[in-house]
Amino acid sequence: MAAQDHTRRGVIVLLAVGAIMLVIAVATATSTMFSISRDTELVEHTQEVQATINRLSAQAERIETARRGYLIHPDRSFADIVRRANANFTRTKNELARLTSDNPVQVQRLDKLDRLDRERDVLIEALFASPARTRAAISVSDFDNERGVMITREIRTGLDQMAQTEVTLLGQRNRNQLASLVQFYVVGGLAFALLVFVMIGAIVLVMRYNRDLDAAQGRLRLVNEGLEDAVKARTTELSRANEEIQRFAYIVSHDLRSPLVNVLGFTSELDAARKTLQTYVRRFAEDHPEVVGTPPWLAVEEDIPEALGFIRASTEKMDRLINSILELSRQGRRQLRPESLDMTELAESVVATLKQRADAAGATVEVGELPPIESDRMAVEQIIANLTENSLKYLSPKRAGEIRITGRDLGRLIEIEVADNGRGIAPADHERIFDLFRRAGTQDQSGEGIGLANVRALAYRLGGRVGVKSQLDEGARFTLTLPKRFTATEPSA
Amino acid sequence: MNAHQTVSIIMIEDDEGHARLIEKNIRRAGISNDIRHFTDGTSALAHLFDDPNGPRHNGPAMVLLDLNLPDMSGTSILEKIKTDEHLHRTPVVVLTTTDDKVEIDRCYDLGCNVYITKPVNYESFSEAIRQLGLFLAVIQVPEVDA
Repeated sequence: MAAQDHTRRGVIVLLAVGAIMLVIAVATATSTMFSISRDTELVEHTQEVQATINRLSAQAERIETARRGYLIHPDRSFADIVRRANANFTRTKNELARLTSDNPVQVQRLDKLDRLDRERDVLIEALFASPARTRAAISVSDFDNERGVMITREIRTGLDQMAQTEVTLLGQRNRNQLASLVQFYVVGGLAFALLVFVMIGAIVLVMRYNRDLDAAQGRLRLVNEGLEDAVKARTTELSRANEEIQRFAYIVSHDLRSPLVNVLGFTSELDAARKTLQTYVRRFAEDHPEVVGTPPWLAVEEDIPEALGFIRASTEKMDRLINSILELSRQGRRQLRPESLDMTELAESVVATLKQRADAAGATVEVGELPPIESDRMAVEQIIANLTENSLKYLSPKRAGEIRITGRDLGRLIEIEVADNGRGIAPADHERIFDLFRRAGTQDQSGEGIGLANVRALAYRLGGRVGVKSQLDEGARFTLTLPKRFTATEPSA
Repeated sequence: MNAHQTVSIIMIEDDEGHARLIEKNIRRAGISNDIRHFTDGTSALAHLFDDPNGPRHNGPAMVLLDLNLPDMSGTSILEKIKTDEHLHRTPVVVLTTTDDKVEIDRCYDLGCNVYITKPVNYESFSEAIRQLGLFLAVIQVPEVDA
């Protein structure tokens, strides 16, 4: 049992650890996902900046190309192109300023770009105002050192620097993104591995728990079977002992009768011999009246007949007792055959057989509604007959006898009550009356003290009980409890 | 009684008292046949089957049999008599204390001719024996097939 508790606690701990792991893994994954998406945004941002720089660079080149075209041939179409490109350049530059506002280095570079742009605007306006003078000034000096070209070159350099910075940033941000991804995979993998580990642990523990449970059940089954066998063996033993007692009673009572036959037989022979002597003594006394009253005369006339009378009475009583034991043991050996019994009908038929005795005693016997049972007919009849007979036998002379047989359903048992208003039994005798050869109260009725002993033995055999509630002179209530279904536990003889 | 054949009565009874009472009452009934008393099954069987003067070899007999014997059950003696080709017509009166119905049926099944329960009441007992005596006086005991 302790091992099982241990295992159960282990499973709970493992499951808790697994749950915590899962929470940690989900939290880590979420935060990593956030950082990855932030990195991705940054990368996209950098790429956008790069594209803007490239566009700005192209527009700067376009302005320069158109400006140079105008220088060579001052045509309105070149001027339009320059103006349009310049407007685009300004727009793109503003966009770039917005995009790189978070980066001071780029802001600084953009400021420089701004200055160059404004300077170039001045140059271009001067060119448009007087193209000829400008052209003349350039042709005099070296074109390579012309201010416009220089500005363009500087803008190009600045933009290149900006682009370079963004490339570096992109690389860095790409690396960050990768690092986040790696972190994600590592954390995820670790959590997954831990989860798998916890699950395997839990499964192993549960399997071990189940195995322990199986083993415990096996042991329990063995114990149960052992118990059943033990009960069966014990029951068989008890039934055998009971059977042994019954057989013993039968043999003993049987063998006791044999000497009784002799005692009674020879008592009769003795009596016959006494009669012969008596005849002789009487004839002698006719001639010699003085012998009347002397010891020999008394012996033949009084002492011997008295002694023989006692011997005969006692032996006859003993014979009745032995017959009772024999009868009891015979009933005890009888195989019980359970059948469905309509108890009301059964009790009524028993009462019908006692009708004459009831009428003679001036008593009424009433049978109520009794619940049906499955039991041995003869045994149940015997019990009810004995109880009713007892009630009829021990009525009170003070009142008319009233006997009531009633029943109750108690679920698995039924209860049958035989109640009378007879002379009752003193509480001190309640146990005694169920003993063999024991009787209670005034001994004014014939009987050997067998009936109730038999009733109790039968009730026990039927798996039931019998008890009594009574006070002297207040009637008696005998309660018989029987199982609804009698199942034979005795071995078949 | 056939004058030329004396039917001997073989009484197998372990209780001396019972034997004496039975004998007395038989005599009182006016039966003067020879009564041979055995107190155990073995000697009774020896007389019945092997004694040259016994019933198997010499003359008719009737058997009074008690069922409770010290060395064997009376029913096995009954069975032996009733299955023997020479003795099976010999009348057997079972006279015992057992009034168990199963036992009585068994004896009749084995071929016992009369079954008498020994009553404790002596008047009934002597009456039963006297009637048995009358019965002995009227029955024709068959010849033993020699």
